[in-house]
Order: sequence, then structure tokens, then C-alpha cells
Amino acid sequence: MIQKRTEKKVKKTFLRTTESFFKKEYTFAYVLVLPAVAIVIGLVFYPIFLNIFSSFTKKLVGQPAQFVGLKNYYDHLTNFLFRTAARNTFTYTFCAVGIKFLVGLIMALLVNKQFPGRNIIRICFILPWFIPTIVACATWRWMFNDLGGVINSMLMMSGIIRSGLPWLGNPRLAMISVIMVNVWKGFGFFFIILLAGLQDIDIRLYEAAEIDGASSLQGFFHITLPSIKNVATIVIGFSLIWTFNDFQIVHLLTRGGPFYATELFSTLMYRTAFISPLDLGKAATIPMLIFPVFAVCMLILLKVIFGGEQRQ
Amino acid sequence: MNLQYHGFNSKTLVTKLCFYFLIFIFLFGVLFPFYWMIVTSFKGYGELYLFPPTFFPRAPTFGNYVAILGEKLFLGSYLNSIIVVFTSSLISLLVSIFAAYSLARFRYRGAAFISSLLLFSYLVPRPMLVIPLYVIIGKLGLMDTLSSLVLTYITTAIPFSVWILTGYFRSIPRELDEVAAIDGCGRITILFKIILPLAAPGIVAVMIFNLVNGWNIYLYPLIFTSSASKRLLPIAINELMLGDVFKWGRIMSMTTSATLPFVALFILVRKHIVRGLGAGAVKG
Repeated sequence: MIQKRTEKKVKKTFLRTTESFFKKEYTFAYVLVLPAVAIVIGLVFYPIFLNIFSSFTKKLVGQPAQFVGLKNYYDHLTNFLFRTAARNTFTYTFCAVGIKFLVGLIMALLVNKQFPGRNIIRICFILPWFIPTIVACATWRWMFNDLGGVINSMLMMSGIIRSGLPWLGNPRLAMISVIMVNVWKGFGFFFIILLAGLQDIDIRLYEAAEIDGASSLQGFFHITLPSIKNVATIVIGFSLIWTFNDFQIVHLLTRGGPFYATELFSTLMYRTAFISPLDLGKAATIPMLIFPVFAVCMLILLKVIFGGEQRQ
Repeated sequence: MNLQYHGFNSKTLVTKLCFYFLIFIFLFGVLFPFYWMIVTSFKGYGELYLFPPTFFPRAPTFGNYVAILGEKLFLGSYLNSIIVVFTSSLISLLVSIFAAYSLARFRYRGAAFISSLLLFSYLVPRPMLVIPLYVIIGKLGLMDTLSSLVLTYITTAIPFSVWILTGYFRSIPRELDEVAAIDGCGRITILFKIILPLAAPGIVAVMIFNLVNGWNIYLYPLIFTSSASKRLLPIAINELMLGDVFKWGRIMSMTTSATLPFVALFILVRKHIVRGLGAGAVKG
């Protein structure tokens, strides 16, 4: 008797579960995902369309938008400031990401083995990445300072230079300084992820190679590098996007100077919209011009990510 | 942990020396700015600009710290930052948990599309959104409020959170869900009693990532707030660096106090970060 009742109950709940799987499932699932989708559509995709529309207008503060067609685009492309910003942004991005990758990789390789103090050293290497960017920028700005700056002091004390270098005052040095800070702040990201990738490599590959008579260097190039290719691509891709859009470091250190030597697209946008012509339409045009480059990078990144997921 | 060797044979003394020398160089480059920041914050005004500089303050003083405690801008902006970052992280977490649960456990039309939508929005460059958001925030009448910041912060946090959490939820076997369903649990109960406890490391990692990211957001607070009472900490520190002479002792003491909670947080949760990020990136 009891057995029959429990049997019926199990059947009922089972049927109820599978029934509801097909009926109430849809509404509930949609409701769950609605807030996220609504926010993303309202505050990401709608602004994108608004941006596209704005780029064809001239929108000064306090005045309604005027349609100006392609004038903004033409103004930017013929403007020396835009081309300077383009050159600077690409220099900044590729140098910084390249150096970050190399430094992160070297550090990951060094820390890959067990040795005394390894855990503490790992924590230390990640520290710059973890702290707020303003902290890094303020500290480095102080270190670069012409008066009291410790970098100049140390260089002078060790006799490498005779008088202080204008780290943030000389156009060429300023770019180097800004890249330096970006690298100091950002290599931790590469370090931590490349390290994870390195630790995934099967040690037996190296043992097999050693038996076959491969040298250490060959082991590195033929086993280590290919094994981390996927992880490296993802990490480099993200870093390219983030570094390309970086605003804070340059703004805090040089504000785009001296003489626009470190003016990036992001600072140019800020300048166009809030400092100089105060033209929101013109500022909106800048990302429109560089977006095609972005779309290509994103497509490549997505291919790697989604390619990996399908394989799983 | 495996003893991995990647080709570097550290058996010879020379190699070992090079190895430790390299590590030392890197450690110095990484840690010196921290040291210098802390040391500067304890220096009195007279010691700041000495040459040769004192690498340990001759007359250490708490004067800078006392001074910044008195400055309303510092405490106020610190508090504002905490409020905005925590609120936005919690809201994002909640919204993302529901969305990730929906995407990971339910099959319905448009699920894949929504997934791609969220991933795509994560990759949209922020400069693309800044100007329109400025217009939208203005039209909503939220200019110069903390709510505008919370709103924009969650738009940056949600796509990433959903992405990571969906991966985590998917890795939890469905059988557990079905067992609970047979026991009479509704879907929400399954979410809270089964999935969340098992996905706890992922949730912690996501929360931490959003907190850290939130503190680093600079452009939004710069343009969405203007009055002193609404400033966030990054902007407050920036304001100290305008003009001709900067009060470096004060600035360094501000940055030091801004760093301490992060160092503490980091030491507490470093395992989760590695696991959380590793899963997100290596999983592909």
C-alpha cells in the first residue's frame, strides 16, 4: 500500500518535473535573465546607437544637436591632433602590451618551479596589478617628479646621469614613462594567467624530450610556447583592448602632454568633449573612426574563445 | 604542486645566481614604488625634497595622516567610493547570478543569442559609451549623483560576471538539480541550496574582481560628478595634483591608506583569484 503510494508520488513528481520542464521553463528563464539583458541593452547597445547618431551632429553644450553629416569625420582625419593621437595610441598599446607579455612570461617561467620563498614572491609580483590605479599613478608621478623625484636622485647618485631627466616633461621621455607605468601596473595580469597556463603543461613532455636529447632551449620553443598559445592569445587580446582604451594612467601622469606627446584616443575624446571645442558630436566621432580596428580584434578574440568552447 | 621544469637547469651555481639575481631585480622594481610611497607618507615637509633623498625618514611623523583625516574631501570621497563600489558589485552579482543560472540550466530560444550579446557588450570599448552615457545620465536627471555611478558601474560588471558564472554553473552536474527536483525543490530553491554553495569560489572571485575593477574606474566619476560631496577617491586624489605645488606627503599618505584595504583583501583571498581567473581564461 505504502509502496504504491510512493510509486505514484515519484511518478507524479517526475511527470510534473518533466512537464514543467517544457511549459513554465520558458517564462521563468526569460524572467531570470531579463534584468541583465535590459541593463545591457539600455546602457550598452542603446548608447552605441546614440553614439553613431551623435557622430553626425554638432552638439555643443547647452545647444540642440545640429546635423552636420560627415564634417566631423573629415575634420578628424585631416587634423594633425587626431593623427598624433592615432600614432601615440598604437605606440603606447603595442609597446606596453608587448613588454607586459615578455615580463609576465619571464616572471612566470622563473616562478614556475618550487623554490624557497616562492609563494611570497608570487604575491609580490601580483601586487601592482591589484592595487587601485590612482595609487600607482600618484606614486610614479612623485617618483618622476623634477623636484624630489627619487628616480632622478638614484640615477644621479649612482653616477649614471649628471642632472635630472624630465621624465614627464620631455615628449619622448613622457611616452616611455607612461608605458613604464602601464607595464608596472599591468604585467601582473599576464603573470598570473601565463603561470596558470605553464603549470598545466604535462611534465612528461619535457621528460620525453630530454630522453630524445633535446636541449633546454629546444624544450622551451617546442613544448612551452605552443602549449600556452591559447592562453597567451586570450590574455594578449584582452590586454590590447584594455590598454588601447586606457585613459586614467595618461590623464593622471601627463594629461596628454607635453605638447600632445602622450595624447591617446581616450584623452583626445575627453579633451574634445570637455575641454576644447566642447563638441559632443565631434568627440563621439573618434570611437567611430577607430571602431573598425576594434571590431577586427574582437572578432579574432571571439573566435579563439568560442573555438575553445566548442572543443569542450 | 608539480615540480615543473621548463628547460631551465638550475643545477649549476652560475645559473642559480642568475636566477636569484633576476628575481631580485624584478622584486626590486615591483616593490620599490610601494616602499617609497609608504616612506614618503611619513616624511615631514622638510625632508621631502632633500637631495640625496633619505631612504628612511630621519624624523618620521604622522603629520600627513593627521592632516588628511581632517580633510573632508578625503574621508568623504573614501566613503563614497566604498558605497558606490560595494552597492554596484552586490547588484551586479545578484543580476548576474540569475542571468547565469538562466543561461546555464535552461534551454530556450535565444539563449545562445543572449550569451553572445553579453559577451559582445563586455568587449565594447568604453570610449564608445562615454559620450552617450553622459547624455543619457543628464536626461535622466542623475548628473552629479552617486546613483549614476552605480548604474554605470554595473554595466561594466555584469557582462564579465555573467560570463564567468555561467561557466561555473555549467560545470555543476545537472544530476544534482534533478535529484533536488524529485525531492520537490523548486528552481529557485535549487539555485540557492545547491548551485550557489558549489559555485562559491567562482562567486567570490567575481565579487573580488568587480570590487577591484570598481575602484579603478576613473573616467565615469570624472565626468558624472562635479561637486565635492559626490567625489570618489580616485578623483579626490587627482584634484590634489592640480596646480603648481603638490602636497606630496599628503598625497602619499592618502594613497597608502587607499592601498591598505587592498593588500589585506588580497592576502585573504589570493587563492580565489587565481582559481577564478584561471577558470575564466584557461577554460576558453
